[in-house]
Amino acid sequence: MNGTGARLAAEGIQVRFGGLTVISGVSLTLEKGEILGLIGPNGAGKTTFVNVLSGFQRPNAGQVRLGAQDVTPWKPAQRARAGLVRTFQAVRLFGGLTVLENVEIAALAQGLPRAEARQRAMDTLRDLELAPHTAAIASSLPYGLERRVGIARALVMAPDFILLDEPAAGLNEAEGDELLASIRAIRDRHGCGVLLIEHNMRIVFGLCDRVHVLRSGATIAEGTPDHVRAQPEVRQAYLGEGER
Amino acid sequence: MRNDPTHSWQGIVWTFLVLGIPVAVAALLLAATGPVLSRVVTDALIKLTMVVGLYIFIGNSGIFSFGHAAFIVVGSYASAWMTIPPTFKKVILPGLPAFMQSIHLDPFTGGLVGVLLAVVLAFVIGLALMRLAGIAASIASFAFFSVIVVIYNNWTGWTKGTASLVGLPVYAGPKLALAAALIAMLLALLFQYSRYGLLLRATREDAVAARAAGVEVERMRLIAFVVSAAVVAAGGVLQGHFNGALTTTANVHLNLTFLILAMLVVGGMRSLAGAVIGVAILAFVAELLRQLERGWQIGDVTITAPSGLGQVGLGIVMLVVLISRPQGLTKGREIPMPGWLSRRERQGDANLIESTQNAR
Ligand SMILES: Nc1ncnc2c1ncn2[C@@H]1O[C@H](COP(=O)(O)OP(=O)(O)O)[C@@H](O)[C@H]1O
Ligand SMILES: [Mg+2]
Repeated sequence: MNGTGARLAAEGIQVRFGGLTVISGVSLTLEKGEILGLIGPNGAGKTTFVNVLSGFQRPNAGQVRLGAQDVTPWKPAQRARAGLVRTFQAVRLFGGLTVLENVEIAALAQGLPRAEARQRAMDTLRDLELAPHTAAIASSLPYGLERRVGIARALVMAPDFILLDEPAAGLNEAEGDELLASIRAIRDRHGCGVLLIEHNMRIVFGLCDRVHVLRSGATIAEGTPDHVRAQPEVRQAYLGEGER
Repeated sequence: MRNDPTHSWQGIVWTFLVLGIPVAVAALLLAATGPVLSRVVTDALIKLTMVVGLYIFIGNSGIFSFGHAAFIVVGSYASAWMTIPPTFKKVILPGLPAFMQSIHLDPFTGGLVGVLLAVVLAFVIGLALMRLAGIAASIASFAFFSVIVVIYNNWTGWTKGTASLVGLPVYAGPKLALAAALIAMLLALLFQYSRYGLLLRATREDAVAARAAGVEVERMRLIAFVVSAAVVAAGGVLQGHFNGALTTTANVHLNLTFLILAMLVVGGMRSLAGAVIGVAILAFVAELLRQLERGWQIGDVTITAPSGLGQVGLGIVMLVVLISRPQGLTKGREIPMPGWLSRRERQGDANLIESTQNAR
């Protein structure tokens, strides 16, 4: 673990694209060891919010803090090395490189020596049952494996906080369940904080310790799954759309 | 699955030998036939050094640079200033400051000065350039090249401008050029194998994902840019001391830029094998066309190709190769290691997996 602090906090985040306000004054905290669901309809600003947390999008207002440190001006790579790691909705593997290299690279970028980085990459791949695929070219992988490699690449960095942007998107129900069960296992083993963007309400409410609901870039509810589920606004705005 | 030998140190040795030995044997045999081929071979080996240098940056970063010939200009002129005998320098470069006129270094140190100057320039320029990617980086690199050439073209007191700067000690022959090419190849392989090489290839595949993985994208590019500039400049220094004269006139460096890029692209810009094969083929084609331009005696008839055929011919070869094999002749692959050599390595990976399983 990188020991940068036990809490990731965003305060009063605002993001505008031209005249369009995409995030307006959203705050949330993520404790280590907790799984926080971030839900909301398409276009609610979830990915944009993850971009702000991970440093890919500079907010027009607000602050991101990692432990006691204000990391708002930090670049993505710096945040990643400090233990704040994300995955992508579109996975974004290093397509021409092998599965092992994909994961090894993330370990190397942490400053680990060659041999140790490779060993840790192997360990992580095995934990995610990817060991038979280490020599495969990433771009040749089927979709489900691709997603798992994306998670392995994040986990190998031993993050304090991991931000998963729709990790189960495009997977069938069994694959999705399996993946999300492994997220719980990851949290239990590594003790990291997990921010999970996911559309399947059954999974979100079953897996998450807390849930944060966005609509049109604003928070409409947050709290325990039971609390959030009971909010009329949530039922109307999101659950009412039909469970997907 | 992929058989990329440059993944292990055994594979590095293999790749070096399987490319280096044919290059060395061919070069030494051809050079032994006489002065004409010896010159052709030396020239090709110097080009090989430059192309391998270019490959270190382009191959690993995926960024096309049109600017590297600037390091040839900078390196070769600096080496000239350091090594032309002072008595002669006073006559041909009267505009040179007195302290520069009196400097007289041995060829090796003089060449080193040239390379170091290129390194410093690459670092300074790279700080700005490496923030760009894709076509913007390529265009900016070309702008940088143009600026350097214009400066050297008009800086008459130091460079003789569009006239030739002569009097460079001629010390570069086939053996030295071969040594340079082999060292360049080894350096390229070591870089490819190093953590910087691997991290840089990650940025080539997806710069955003690389940042998310904690990779300092600009820094990795800058490291490769500087190493690559050093090797290309070393090639430039040798070229100066092979021809004995330097000039910036008549687009020589623009043509050279085109030639070394064509060599890299034809062979396949993502493997060292590609760099080597591209140089071999285009050096051969270029020599053939040069002979044709000079006139070819067949019986009583002399066939003389129109001048300029060289450039046109190179362009055609490049087009044909790129249309039929967009990734170059090697498709960006290295020469695979034979099974009996690589078995040991795969065994190593298997052991690694097993040992981690036992550790649980
Ligand atoms: N770079 C951008 N420029 C302009 N608008 C953007 C940009 N990125 C996202 N948006 C807009 O911001 C809103 C939120 O997008 P996003 O964060 O991707 O939503 P979600 O992940 O919740 O589906 C959408 O309306 C989207 O069109
Ligand atoms: Mg999204």
